[in-house]
Amino acid sequence: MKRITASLLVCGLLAVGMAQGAEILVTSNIATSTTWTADNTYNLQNQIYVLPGATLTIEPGTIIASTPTTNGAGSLAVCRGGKIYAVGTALKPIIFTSKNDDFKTWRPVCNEWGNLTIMGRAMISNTNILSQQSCPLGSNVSPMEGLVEEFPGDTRVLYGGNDDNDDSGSLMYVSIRYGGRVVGLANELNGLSLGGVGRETDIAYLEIMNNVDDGIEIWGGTVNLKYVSIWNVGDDYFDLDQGWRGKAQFGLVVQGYSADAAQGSGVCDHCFEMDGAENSDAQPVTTANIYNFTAIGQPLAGRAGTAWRGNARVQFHNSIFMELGTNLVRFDNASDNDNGYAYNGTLTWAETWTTPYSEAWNKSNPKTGGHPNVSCASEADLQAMYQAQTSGKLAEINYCVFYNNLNSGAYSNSNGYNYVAGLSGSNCVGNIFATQSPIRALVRGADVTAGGKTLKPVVFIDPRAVNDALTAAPAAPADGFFTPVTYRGAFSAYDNWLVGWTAAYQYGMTGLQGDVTGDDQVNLDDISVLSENWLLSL
Amino acid sequence: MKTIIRLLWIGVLTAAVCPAAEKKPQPSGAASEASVQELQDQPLEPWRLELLDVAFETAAKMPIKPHLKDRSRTQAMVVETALKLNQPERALRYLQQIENWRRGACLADLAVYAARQQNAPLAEQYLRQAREIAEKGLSGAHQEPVQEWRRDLIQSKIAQGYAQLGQLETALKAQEGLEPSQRGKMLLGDSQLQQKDLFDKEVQRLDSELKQNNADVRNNVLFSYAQMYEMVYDRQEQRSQLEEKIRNSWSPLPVFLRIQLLTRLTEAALDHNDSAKALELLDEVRRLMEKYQWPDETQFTLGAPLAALRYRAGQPQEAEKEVQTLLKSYEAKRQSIFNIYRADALRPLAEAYAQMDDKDTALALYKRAVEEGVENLNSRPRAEDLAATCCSMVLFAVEPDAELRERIRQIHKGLGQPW
Repeated sequence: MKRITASLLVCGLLAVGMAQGAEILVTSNIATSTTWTADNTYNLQNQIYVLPGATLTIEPGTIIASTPTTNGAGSLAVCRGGKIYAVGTALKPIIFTSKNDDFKTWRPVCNEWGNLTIMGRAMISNTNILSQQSCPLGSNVSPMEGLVEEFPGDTRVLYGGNDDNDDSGSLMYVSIRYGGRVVGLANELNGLSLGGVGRETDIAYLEIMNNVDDGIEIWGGTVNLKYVSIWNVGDDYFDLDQGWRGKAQFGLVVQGYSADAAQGSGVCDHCFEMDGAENSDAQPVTTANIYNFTAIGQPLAGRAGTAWRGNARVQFHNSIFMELGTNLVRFDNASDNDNGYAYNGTLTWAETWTTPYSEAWNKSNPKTGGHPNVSCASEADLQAMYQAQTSGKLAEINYCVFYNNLNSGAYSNSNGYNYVAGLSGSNCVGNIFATQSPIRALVRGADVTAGGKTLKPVVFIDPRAVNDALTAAPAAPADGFFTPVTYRGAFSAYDNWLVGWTAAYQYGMTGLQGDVTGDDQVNLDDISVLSENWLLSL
Repeated sequence: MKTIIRLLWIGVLTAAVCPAAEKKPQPSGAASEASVQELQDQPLEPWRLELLDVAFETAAKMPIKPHLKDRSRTQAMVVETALKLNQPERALRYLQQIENWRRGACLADLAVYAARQQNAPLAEQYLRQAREIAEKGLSGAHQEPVQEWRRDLIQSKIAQGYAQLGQLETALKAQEGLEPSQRGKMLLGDSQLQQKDLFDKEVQRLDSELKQNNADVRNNVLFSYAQMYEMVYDRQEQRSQLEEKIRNSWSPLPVFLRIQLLTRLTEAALDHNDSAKALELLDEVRRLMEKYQWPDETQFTLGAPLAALRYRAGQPQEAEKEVQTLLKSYEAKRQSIFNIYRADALRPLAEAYAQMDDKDTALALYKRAVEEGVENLNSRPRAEDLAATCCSMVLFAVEPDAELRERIRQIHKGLGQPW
């Protein structure tokens, strides 16, 4: 009885917490710094830019709920020189969503509004654009995918520059749901788009739930991310491009669908898609370091755990890849529209897996090799220099747990590179092919057909580590960013950091409802925390 | 019922909060060890001190919520300016008001300054305080998530401090395992580098860092070589060795960094009255500048210092032509440069004129920079611009006239919502 009473009280307090006041229609760009407060809801009416010099501050507990429209009109983008401070708390997350969100029930929809885009001035590589240099001049800029120039020379849509320490603000405890405007073919908005975002920007505790395109896509820059959760998006979940040189730790990927639409625009594609640079010989090239992710695939509809393009170099450590649709590792050079691995003397993909992180990229003359690109020859012998890696090989999947990846090609690849050997050989070490689930619970609902594919939607997970996920792995470096934990995957045996602030929690897809303290019980401790939080907000 | 719960909680919270509220938190990093002899400010014209204070107060006006990072970054810039002008007491007073990790970085800078002044006890005291912030963060409520480059930036400065004190082992230990963006920075000071064995050791250490093959490390190492180049300029062999190292290693770096490196070498040549070498370097930079198309903002920050150096190198007419060309370019491109970046473009032009002994034009350009800085509607970029312009005027010794002083005062006073 005490438990039931406590649950009811907790639900009541949560409901109080969600109660919102006036609806503010946001119709024009933010040129003057503005604070959005938790006693209102904000409805984005069109593409809203936070212009250079302006700051958008969003208070904890604020809901930005936009009117659902075809190809979601309402959207928010922070320009270079603009800032966003959206710092919520575990009990008062900041929620970007559609007005159709009832905060109780998951719906199989997306594209009801736009997204959150942040553009900064850190270095990028984009040789797709005429006049952009593959030499690292620090002058490359690029228009953001999914944003449209409203007039010739509209610089609001541009990202990139020469300041890797750039600061676009802070995002913490932010949940982004049901978004992803479709601008055109292969031109859609991701849940969170980060273009040229610098390392002084802080991003932690961020969730994407349902989006038409990717969950998080990062183009260049040096921003680091910690505690990210990406569910049910319609394309890739964590997508890297144009020379991102960052780190990420503690991430959850749960593949699914967000609309009855084609794969890539409603039905999940890859868990990770990685592109080094638009042409492989350009710098900087994506060279990243990822620890402690849990990637849960779609056994029938999803594609690869990791897709590799365009000279990408990414290290995966201490992670879980389970129930993938196809391969764990996919050589995806052919899908790239640009020149990929091995272009212009760069390393082949296979060589990337066996080359130390500190080696030059030019295989013919690895240490000092001159650049074969005539236009750059006198200026740069572009080496593997722009990176966040500090040890190991350029590409690695080490100390991970693989579970229930039942596709016949899960550990092999059609281009002949033998990943079974690779994943257990000297260039990929410490991996475990588990026979028992590495997470506490995974419940899939009835099969659903979407985009012509059969999906097995995840309706509940308890992602905390069990079994082989608790087999100690070498801890992430204690470098001040990474937390040096030895478990594998995004969650320890005890802490489900999704509880309290995510859509997944609100929709009953994880955690015990009302258990805001995460101790697996709903009791007076939870009421105490919620009451205190409520009182402090008065 | 709701009222009862509320009253109960208010009681509990009051009891919990009040004792803490009564204790005024001691700023971490404050110099409290009174037995150590303090550093003293050197004489400086009152107007420069006044402008420094305006710059700092301008930065401090930015509200901590949400602008802690912006405010602290700008405050740290003023501290750096104060130290450049031998104002350590003032720098200490300023840095104690910084409310995030940058206080640790500024404390380490002050420690390096104290070490250079042969005040070892004070340097060690500041280093201890800086280390505390690097390791534990700043006590108090206002903290960003820890990111390694922030901690390591403090740590790299701490290493420099110990090296300047002659504690090389401690210095080397302090910079072990730093993340790439903070590796490869020079440890030793001017007097130490005059000893051949120490010079060789430092070169060896930097050479081995270079082998990391990382862009950030390489960037730092090459700028360290450039600093050493200046310090050993009179020793031809060592100077040539350093220049060769820089030239052999810069090709993978962005070209704007190469221009900045050449600018440093030119400054060093001029500081040692070697105009011939300076002109040779300046011609090389000019060719590089002309070869590429630069973003509007970059063109001025890179180009204007070169004109000033050409003036110093004995080509005043050429220099004037260069800076005038840049100014014309600014006029032509002004509309396409977003307003928050216009003062950034004008300041280096003003600085160039100041160095070319044309203080009137410099003052006129500073006035324009001040006005461009308030074009944006928001006080955060206004404050950042005003603080930067004040620091620039102080550093380049361009005294504001009454009109500009009044305008600066007005702008400073007017800072407020919206930030």
